[in-house]
Amino acid sequence: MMRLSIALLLVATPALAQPYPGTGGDPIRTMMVEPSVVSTELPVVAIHGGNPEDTVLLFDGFELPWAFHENAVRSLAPPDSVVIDLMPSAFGVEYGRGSSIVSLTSGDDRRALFAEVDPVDLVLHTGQRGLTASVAIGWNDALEGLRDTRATGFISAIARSQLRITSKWALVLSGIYASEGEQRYVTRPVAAVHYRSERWHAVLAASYLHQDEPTVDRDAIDTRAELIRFADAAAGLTKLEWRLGQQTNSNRYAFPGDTFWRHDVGVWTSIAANLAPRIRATVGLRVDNFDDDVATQPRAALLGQPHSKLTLALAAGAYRRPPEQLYEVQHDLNPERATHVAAGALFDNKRDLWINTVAYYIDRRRLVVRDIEGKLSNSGSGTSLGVDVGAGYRKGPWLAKLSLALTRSVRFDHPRGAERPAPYEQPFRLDVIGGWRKNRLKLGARLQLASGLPFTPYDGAVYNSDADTYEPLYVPPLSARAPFHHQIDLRVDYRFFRRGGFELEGFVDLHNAYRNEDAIAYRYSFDYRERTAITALPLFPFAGLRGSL
Amino acid sequence: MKRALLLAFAACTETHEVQPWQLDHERVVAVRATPPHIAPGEISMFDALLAHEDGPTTVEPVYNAAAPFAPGDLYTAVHFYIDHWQIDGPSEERLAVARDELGLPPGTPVPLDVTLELRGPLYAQKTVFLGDSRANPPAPVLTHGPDLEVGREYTLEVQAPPGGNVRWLTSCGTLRDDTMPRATHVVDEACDGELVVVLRDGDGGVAWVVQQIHAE
Repeated sequence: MMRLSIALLLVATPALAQPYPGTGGDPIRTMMVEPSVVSTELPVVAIHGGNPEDTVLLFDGFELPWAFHENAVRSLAPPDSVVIDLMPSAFGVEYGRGSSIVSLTSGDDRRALFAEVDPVDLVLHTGQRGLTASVAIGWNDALEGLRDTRATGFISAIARSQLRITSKWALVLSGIYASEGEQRYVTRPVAAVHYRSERWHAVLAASYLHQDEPTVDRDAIDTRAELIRFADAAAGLTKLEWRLGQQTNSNRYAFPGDTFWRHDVGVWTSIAANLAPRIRATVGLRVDNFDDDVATQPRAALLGQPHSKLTLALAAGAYRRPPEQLYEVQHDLNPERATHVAAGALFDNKRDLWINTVAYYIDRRRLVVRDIEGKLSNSGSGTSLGVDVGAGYRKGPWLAKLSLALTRSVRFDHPRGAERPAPYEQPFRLDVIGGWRKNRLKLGARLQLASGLPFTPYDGAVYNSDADTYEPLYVPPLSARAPFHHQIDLRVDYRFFRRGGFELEGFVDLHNAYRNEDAIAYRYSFDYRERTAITALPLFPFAGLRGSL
Repeated sequence: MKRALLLAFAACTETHEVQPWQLDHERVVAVRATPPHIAPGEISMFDALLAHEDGPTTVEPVYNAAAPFAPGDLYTAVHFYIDHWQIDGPSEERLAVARDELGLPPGTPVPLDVTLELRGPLYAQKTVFLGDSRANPPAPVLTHGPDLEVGREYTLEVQAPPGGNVRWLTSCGTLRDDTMPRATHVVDEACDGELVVVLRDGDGGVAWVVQQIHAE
């Protein structure tokens, strides 16, 4: 099940009748149906006009370096293994180090035991009280000719064990492992101690990460501690919540010929309270020390509920991203800065209809850009402006969902630079999903419409004969756009039988049902003379069986 | 960042992407300045090895040349003479001005980056060093071919110049480790074509050998 938290507003999606068509049941691909996320089959999660590196991907509170396996079809999380919280903008001080948060939380206390097989992987899942484990063992043979992968297979595994020590104390051990054969892998075990009473919540967690890539090894030791105090009333305010927390991120990078450490520390505090029975305010401050570069980030939010079915929100704050991508970390760079302002409205009649709207503006400064000589510096800036609309409706056997986003996101490479679109600016995206279920049969259809992403239309290069390299002939960067993308996905689920608690279902998830082969991006030959279109997976059937207890 | 992502992610469509070792593709294989280092009063001339989509490689003259970013007044060293482009080795006085501008110690060769237009049009850049004399490395000797067997793998080996590098290219079969002194040539089907090896000494010097090959 996926739970959405759109920063300002907590939106609980209705229990899905079935996975969204075209996603193959993948949790992160399912999340990418949300309007704040760029609609693309590229293996990236770009949110609210930002770049993928602006999105912080968390597993049980700790960062992961990538979201997808290199085939871009499967993410690191096996189906039904995680609950996802999506915070696209203006989130609270307890999160940081980026402009958007995708938080994966292991386990969801549901008893489940299932095995699922389809053309790309075998998934095994067991969920019992206090123990959850999922593993996906995949192979890229079915994608041969469709995706260029270095590894022949992939593995994802998530496990969680929760031990209740006393009525107030709990110990949670969890971990994630993902690999692409011998090409790359990442592993992150997490240990956390939780305390919960009526007045106090506390968590103390530590985690180790190992990331192995062809060009670098990374080891990280991270900690996180947070204390939350609740009070009924004080100083004329009610339902107070005071939060105090810290996190440390210590990373050791081992590049060929260059090994070094990087230490980041963050602390935060916030206080939230009801100003009136239906008005709640939160103010907070986060301070990060990114390897001796200090960033102070105030944030505030105001939530109002003029009607039991209507919630309004307004939030603003400062956000910083440390220069910790593998292509940045060896350079002397400052953190990128972003200032968010967002306003939202949620209508939920608690019965069959919800509509959520968020409008946002993000001002970005000190963006890392590469100059004409290939040197990185913090000379970039930009803005993102947009509106997201999400809606869901259920009536009897029918289910409908709509995701609509309008975005304008621009960049300037230096103070007097020409305006250009952001690399992942998607001015328009629309997803319309319909579902119907009756007895053993579930049907689903999804229409995707989306603007193409910008690309730079290189047309040749200058060959450096001494270096044996090619420098593309100059064209204005990102001055062309891939074709407008349209796609229909269909899904059928059928329950064959249910006996003695065992249930066998078959499914066919027909991705790109009419084989749209428009380019979603382009790749250039080594000399920039040829441009190869990267297309969506053409008519790929995720067909399989699922047996569950 | 986005370019790096797309380089690692692709879908095959109608044709496979051309590889850097492929010769049957319109490209500049190498540009040679003879000699690559010239003392005052000496002359250096250009030629280029070009590969073609539907024919053998050719050695061609340069159509246009310019050094727009040359230090001092060294851009005038590049000029068209009768029927070819050449570089005239400037005087020590002019070289001293250029060294001052570039912050080079006295007596150091001054690099002159020359942008070239070749048939196609194709564009290349070649660096010629002014102030001392040095020749191109000798052309390597290949014992590979010309007749090869289909279904075999051949080991190719040359001695790379100290501080230099090697590039193998072919229009018949496929190559592995094509930028290493020791490469593997895989002949998987009958073909007629060429094998080329280019040696660079890391100091402006370049040499190449073109070997005809035939596999059946």
